[in-house]
Amino acid sequence: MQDPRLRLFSVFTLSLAAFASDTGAILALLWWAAVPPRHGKSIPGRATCAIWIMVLAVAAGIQVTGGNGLSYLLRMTAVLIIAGWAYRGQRGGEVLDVAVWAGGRHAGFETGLLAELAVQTLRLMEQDIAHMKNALRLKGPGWGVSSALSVAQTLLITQLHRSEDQALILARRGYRHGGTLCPAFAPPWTDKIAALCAFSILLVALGQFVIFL
Amino acid sequence: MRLICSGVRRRTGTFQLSADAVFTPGMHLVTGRVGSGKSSLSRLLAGLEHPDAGIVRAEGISRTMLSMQFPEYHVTAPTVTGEIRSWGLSPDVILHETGLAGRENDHPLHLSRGELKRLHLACVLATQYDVLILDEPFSALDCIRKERLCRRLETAGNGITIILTHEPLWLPKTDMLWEMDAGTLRSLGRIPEALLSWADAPRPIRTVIDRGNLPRNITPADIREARCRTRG
Repeated sequence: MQDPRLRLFSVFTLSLAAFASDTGAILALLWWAAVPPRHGKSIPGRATCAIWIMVLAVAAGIQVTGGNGLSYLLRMTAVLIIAGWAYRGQRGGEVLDVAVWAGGRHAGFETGLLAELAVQTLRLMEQDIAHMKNALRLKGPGWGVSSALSVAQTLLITQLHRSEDQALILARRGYRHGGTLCPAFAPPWTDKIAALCAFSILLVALGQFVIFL
Repeated sequence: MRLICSGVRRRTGTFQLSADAVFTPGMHLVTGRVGSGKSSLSRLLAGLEHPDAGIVRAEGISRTMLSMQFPEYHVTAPTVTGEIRSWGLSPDVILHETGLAGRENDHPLHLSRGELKRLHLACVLATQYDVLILDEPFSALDCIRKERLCRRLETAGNGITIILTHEPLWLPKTDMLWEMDAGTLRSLGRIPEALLSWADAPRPIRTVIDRGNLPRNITPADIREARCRTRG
């Protein structure tokens, strides 16, 4: 999907649909399989897989204690896959564009700027982790409990320093609040159809949820 | 002990790296312009990345170390002391050597680039490796530190030392010269004969060669000696 507004809308509706019912989750997965990826592959990355393992553990716990762990696993898998798909398809500046389009120059710009900084931080952390993995491999011991704790602490402190630097840069440049941005969108018809399908899936899932109640 | 690149090819976007080489014990200098593929080659040689085609084979090598161009890529601990310990070293010795005593609890990324590079190199050079690969080791160092690093490398006694750099002046005594040209690694041969075919030789070396004085090696002392040599 090219249009970030329709992508965000689709992600929101599909996540709701997937969480509301099993049918919603299955339909969301079918939607994900049908919509072509924006950049390269659409398959989940390592981070998504790592989170999925934690979801699997929780689902197993629910199943063992008498709950419907399989349903939880299915719904959360769909939510994770859609989130991973959206993250990989996102480009720098798109969140700010959508926020300004939706919320205007003041609240929209500030919300967008915050979200953009958050996404940028996530991407920088990905790079930091890759460098640290290489460094640990070169130093010898590799990953372990003590090195993982040290790496987590280093990541956290590095991000805090980076945030401080970013805040200083914004202040030095005279940023107070709001800003001017004129985002332009040209959604292809395929994006509109995909967003419509996502909304339909939400309606189906909500209908099922109401019947269930 | 040999590090062999056999038909190595790696593509990144439109950039293609190719290398066919055998690195034997001694000092190897890989030169080349910025963006010619030196850092990519260093990661392939260290096994951090794998080629799309061909193979990097390490014969009789058990310990390899890569010093990456940016010292912050090596930081895995939130304090200077912790960072030194993460290399399995005693902080006292390294702190004294690098002149960072009193900054034990600072975050390594709060050091200046030069201080961090010094700390990193001290940690790398405190241990002996079969293969030591140094990507731009002279960057962020002042002339005094560059000279000290050269002397240290010459006496380190590592098996295979590969230096990838475009540093023009402060270079250690070298055995083999290599050139990265638009992603292709070429062997220029043994020094000093290799200096004659070094297309992008630094100006001080080029100047003495043009005058007909082939330096014995590429250290500043060798260049000085060649410059002052009386012909005939």
